[in-house]
Amino acid sequence: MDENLAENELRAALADNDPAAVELLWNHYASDLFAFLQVVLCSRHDAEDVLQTVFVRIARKRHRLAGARNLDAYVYQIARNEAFRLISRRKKEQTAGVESESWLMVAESHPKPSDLAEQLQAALARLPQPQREVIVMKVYKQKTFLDISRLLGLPVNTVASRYRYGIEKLRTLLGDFIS
Amino acid sequence: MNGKDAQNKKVEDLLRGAHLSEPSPQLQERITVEAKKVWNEVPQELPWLIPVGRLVASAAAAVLVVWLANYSSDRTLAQWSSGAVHAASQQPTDIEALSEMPYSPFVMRLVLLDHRSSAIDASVLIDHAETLRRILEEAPQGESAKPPAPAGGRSRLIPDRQSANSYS
Repeated sequence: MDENLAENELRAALADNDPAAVELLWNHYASDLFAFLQVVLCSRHDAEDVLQTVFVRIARKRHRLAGARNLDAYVYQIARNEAFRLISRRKKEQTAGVESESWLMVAESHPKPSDLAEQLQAALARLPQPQREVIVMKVYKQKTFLDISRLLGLPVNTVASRYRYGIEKLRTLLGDFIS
Repeated sequence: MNGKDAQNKKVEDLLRGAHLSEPSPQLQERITVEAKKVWNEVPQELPWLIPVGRLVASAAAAVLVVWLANYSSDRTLAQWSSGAVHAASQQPTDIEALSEMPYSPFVMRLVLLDHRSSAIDASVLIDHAETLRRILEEAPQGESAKPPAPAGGRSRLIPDRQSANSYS
């Protein structure tokens, strides 16, 4: 219900061309998008840059957002496009992101937090992009398969199978930590 | 299968043991300021402008396609135009030489008509046909044009009784 209220408030601000919509957009999307971008790009710095690009793009094309039927899907699509643009630019320029950058944190209570964080980062980075997207939304943002399918514009079964394959691959990659 | 599921559960728990950092207040400040700046700088596009723009683009594309089709058609059919046919069908005709021929006035009129109607045109063809019809009507219908009538009104191919008796 709160989600609907927030979305209605955001739609009203967009329709009124009110700059306060930027704050509403931030409150509504920033946390989820930042997590999504960190895992997709495997870099906190790149995620920050792309998040800024996403918000600037939304501000520039706000009339389209105001007319979008599914705000969440529209915003996520912009984020995905910007992330892929950065990845393809990196590939063309053959430049890597900041190496050994830590974007995943493990609680200090764990026996070897830095080791685990490093292993998890490495394992997630080796997953195919689509599987990583689904895992971050499901595990770190507690979204249901239905929510994810709506956000990514995919069938629910596809989302579920991507998640299952991703987890199975992680099981193989993280064998030492599981056993 | 159960062991596999249990291991998958362990992987999920392991992932949940880690967390991703939240955007910092500095990042929020930086991004919202930048986005608001763009918001104020860029005027909002009028919503009706988008379909109108698409309509104009579609119309322009349609005009271009029609123009290209016409241009292509004109180029292809250029060799079949009336001028080319006239040049191809024009043959040197020495009209004076025709005066030596029998029926020379008639042939000369036909040749002259042929020269005038070299352009392919329905009205010209109709005129041509009309003229030909008139010429044929006006043509002298003398006795030489008709086969001679048989003597006594009967065919010469059927022998009469008298001549038939003379053979016997």
